[in-house]
Amino acid sequence: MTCLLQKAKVLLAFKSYIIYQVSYIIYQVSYIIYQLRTMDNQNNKLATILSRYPKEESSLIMVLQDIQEEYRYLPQEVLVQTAEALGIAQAKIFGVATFFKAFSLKRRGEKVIQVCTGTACHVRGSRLILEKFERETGIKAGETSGDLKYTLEGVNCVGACALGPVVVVNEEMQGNFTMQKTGKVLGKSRSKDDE
Amino acid sequence: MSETTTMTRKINSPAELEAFRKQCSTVYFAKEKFISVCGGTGCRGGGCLKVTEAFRNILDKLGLTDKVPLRLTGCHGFCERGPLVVIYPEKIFYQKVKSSDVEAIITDTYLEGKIIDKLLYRDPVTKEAIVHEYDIPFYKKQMQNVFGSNGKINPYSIDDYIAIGGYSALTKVLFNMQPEGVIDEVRKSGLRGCGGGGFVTARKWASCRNAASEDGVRYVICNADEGDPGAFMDRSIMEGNPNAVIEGMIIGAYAIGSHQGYVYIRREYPLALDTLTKALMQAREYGFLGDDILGSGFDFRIGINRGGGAFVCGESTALMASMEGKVGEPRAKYTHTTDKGLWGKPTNLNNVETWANVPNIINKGADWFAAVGTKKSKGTKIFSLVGKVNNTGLVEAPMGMTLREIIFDIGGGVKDGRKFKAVQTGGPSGGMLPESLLDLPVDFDSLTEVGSMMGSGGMIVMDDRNCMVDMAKYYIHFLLEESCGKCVPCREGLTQMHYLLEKVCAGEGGLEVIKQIERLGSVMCVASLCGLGKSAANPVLSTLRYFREEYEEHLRDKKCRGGVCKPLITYSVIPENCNGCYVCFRNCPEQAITGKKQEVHFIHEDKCTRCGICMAVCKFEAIAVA
Repeated sequence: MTCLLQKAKVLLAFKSYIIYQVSYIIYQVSYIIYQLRTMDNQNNKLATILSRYPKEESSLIMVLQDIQEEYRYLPQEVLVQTAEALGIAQAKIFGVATFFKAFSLKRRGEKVIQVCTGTACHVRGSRLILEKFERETGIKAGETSGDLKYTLEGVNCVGACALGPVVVVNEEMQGNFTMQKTGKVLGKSRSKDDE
Repeated sequence: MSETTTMTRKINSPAELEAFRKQCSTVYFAKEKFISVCGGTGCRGGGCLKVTEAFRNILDKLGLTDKVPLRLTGCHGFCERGPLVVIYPEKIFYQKVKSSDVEAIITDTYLEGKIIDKLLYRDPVTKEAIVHEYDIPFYKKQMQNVFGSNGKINPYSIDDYIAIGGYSALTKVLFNMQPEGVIDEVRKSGLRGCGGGGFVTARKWASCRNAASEDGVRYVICNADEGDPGAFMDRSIMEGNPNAVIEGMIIGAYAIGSHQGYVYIRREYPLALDTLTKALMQAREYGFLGDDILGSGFDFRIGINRGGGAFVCGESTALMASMEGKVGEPRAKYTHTTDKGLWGKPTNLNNVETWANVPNIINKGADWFAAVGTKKSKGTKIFSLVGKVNNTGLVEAPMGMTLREIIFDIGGGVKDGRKFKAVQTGGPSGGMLPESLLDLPVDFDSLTEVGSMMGSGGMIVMDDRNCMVDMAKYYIHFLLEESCGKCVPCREGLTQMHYLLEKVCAGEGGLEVIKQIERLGSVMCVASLCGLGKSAANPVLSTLRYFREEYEEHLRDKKCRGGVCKPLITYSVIPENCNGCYVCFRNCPEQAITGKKQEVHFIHEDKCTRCGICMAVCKFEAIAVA
């Protein structure tokens, strides 16, 4: 009796082991397929971007801009491929990518909050608004929150000086911004400051 | 968006253009009476697109779509009061229009000619309602030569531009003038570079034309990398009347002998990029660009380059480096870009506003242009009047108008009745001017003489709540971030200058700090490589020249009279004004305010971080800062 029971136990254990193995293999295969797909996707995306411009050094900034638009930052592996495709040294691309304000080498948040710090906005108190955003998100200007929800930036003049202070949230401009409006931007149902 | 593209064939001769212009004019002028909605960036921020949609819907509902012409135009200039709606030809001016007002505008004003009182602009002083655009003080003293067409045409329609006389200067140049003659005409007009340098345009064109080029290749570039914080006139020209810039460039290219042009445009200006791209497409389609323009045998093309977002790229050599795909660092200009510029070829670079002036000069003549302005600065200039001024917006004024006229007559004086303290002109390279210089006529040379500059035309008004040391620090911080780092005086000088100014703002150190700042500034002026570094100390030196007592106050008395520099200020409650409403108490992030309901509150200085929230939320002006 005990022998039978033991046999059954072993069989059961074996069965669950098999199930485990099979599911692991399925997982592995699907992961590889996923990887290949995204790589393919990435290659495709880059190829489309590259096809828009002649393959020469002068296209670099435009290509980087399009990559930035596509991914919202410049992923390292894409930059490596760009270097190969355009025949430019990686170091040079790194130089350009870090020189211009338009580019970010870090992943950016879902909501990109840009507080204009141009002169006209500055004289109307944009610094205090930026500080309030910093306090409420817990990140400094130029940083992205850990959960990738917010990126906070102080930007130089967005060219809507008559409406200062201006805050741009995901490309959407909000003029005559006041400190009371920060909660709404951050998606809090009712900010502590909303009166 | 484009509404009237009736023709898709190329125009092959001036006669064909004139015939087509007639066709365009009939469409354009069919109804004298039309509704113009400002679609500039300022009004878009105020919701003008919703207003336009409301117009379309209601016109549709009333079955008037074909009868009431509606034009979504470029910027009208008076951004402060947007969204703006103007009914032509009377120019009835409505401000701060909402979607709910639209039906009344159509039925009452457009159809019956009744004025809607609540939408009219009111004089801030006399409270009198003003009906017509040209009677409003903001517009009354302006002379809108470049900017005037903005309110009348749809920027997406080249037909509109042709209808009001567009591309007639181009035919005149291509068929009746020699390239040298064009340069002569521009020389006679006295046009100077509106981007900030004020270099004589014709001289630049001539030296580019005469520069040696082995294969005969020359380039013309339109500098649309408007990076000056506080200035947005180039943006508004491109958004409102892109074809004027394109026409100017073609004329310039013909005079210089160039067959390839570029527009280097700032990435922060998506709308301008869009209008310009569409305008270029239409110009190509109509044959104003490409091979054999209008059958004259002259070829010219224009490409667009999007900037990467760097202030220094407004400098010609840095801009060209960036166009070549390199880091945007300037180079020493032993050789001018007109000799060796983009890819080593002679290159002529002009600013958007300069190019937009060219068609007018050709059409109306050099004498017409030169009749306006001062001895050495001719024509008009667009200023962006912003900051603590009542009527913010874009102002086109004849050269030589005084600062006082611009700020107080056109701008309506300082906001909230506060006291005027300074006006900053010329962007980060310019300087700050005090009240005593308000009667100075504004032109290229007079402002330079007093230690500032006209620059691209930014004009930022400051009141007694601004601290001049803080402003100087602001500009130095801006330049510190934007300095490319190539030359030592600029890179290290700015770092040190910022450090010293932070000391002043914190009230640390004695009066000797001012001497250090002055010495450092003078070295940076002479030793830096490009214009950015050479002029970087200007904001500091000009404030030291006119507002020295504020620096001294910070260091000696440890006081900031503007109430800006945090280490030197305290917030306190004014007992007479406080009614104990609790708002500041609830909003203070540091719990530094105590008090009971309906009793005077108290700010605990030791806990206060000077974030300014209490002052911003108080509705009774019961918070003071000193």
